[in-house]
Amino acid sequence: MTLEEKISALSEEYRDHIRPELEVLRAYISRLQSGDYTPEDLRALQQLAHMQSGSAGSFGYEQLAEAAKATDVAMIQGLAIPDLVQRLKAWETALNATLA
Amino acid sequence: MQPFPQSPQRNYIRNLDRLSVLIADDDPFVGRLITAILQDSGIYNVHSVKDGEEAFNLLKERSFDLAILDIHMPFVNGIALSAQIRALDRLQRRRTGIIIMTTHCDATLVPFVRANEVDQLCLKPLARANLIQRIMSALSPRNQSQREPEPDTELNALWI
Repeated sequence: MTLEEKISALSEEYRDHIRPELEVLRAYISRLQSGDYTPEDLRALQQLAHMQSGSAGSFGYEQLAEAAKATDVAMIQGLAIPDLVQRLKAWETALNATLA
Repeated sequence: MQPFPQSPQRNYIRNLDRLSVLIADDDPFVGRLITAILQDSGIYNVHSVKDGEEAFNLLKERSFDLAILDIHMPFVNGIALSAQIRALDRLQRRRTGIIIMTTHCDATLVPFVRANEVDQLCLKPLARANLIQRIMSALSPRNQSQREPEPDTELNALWI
């Protein structure tokens, strides 16, 4: 198997790996919109954003990486929740498109 | 993908198949991607671990020629690991090449990176050619004697 084939297979496996994260992300959006969230939720959400921003682009999913990075940066900067939710929705859209 | 570059840099490093590399990243897919790239380049002695604590414990048992570390990891981050590697290097009179991977250009990293003599900064997402170039530079004699780290292109502004 060539490197290109290995990376292609790994990219497909990565996409399957992050598939459940769409529902996780939607649950976070719902919690933030309702105000029913904890500091631990925010920490876990940022961890998710950080991981996807670092890895998705390496597997060719640049738009997803950018959307996740925008969320990660917003959370580092302490963006207000309503604005953060907009970033999360953009991330959700990118993730949905990646998984389609 | 292009084959492994036959540049003069490659002459710095003999016996690629004997090089030992530690990869520490909490995303296992990143570890697998780097491992695949290294193996394709003839570097087979690769250990990939999932967090800083595992890397820390492994470093107490054995040394590596090169460490590729994510900056953000649970328990022990890449900068703290770099400090550990340099402390062990001083004891063992050796010098490990260190590459730190980061997602963000963050100027606050600079003093920590310099203090721990990190050789190369590599911005994620990873591109094969860039990663190989960083590895060659980190292992070159120039970097073994010159302690000033080289940033990724997009990080250049941080080092002025």
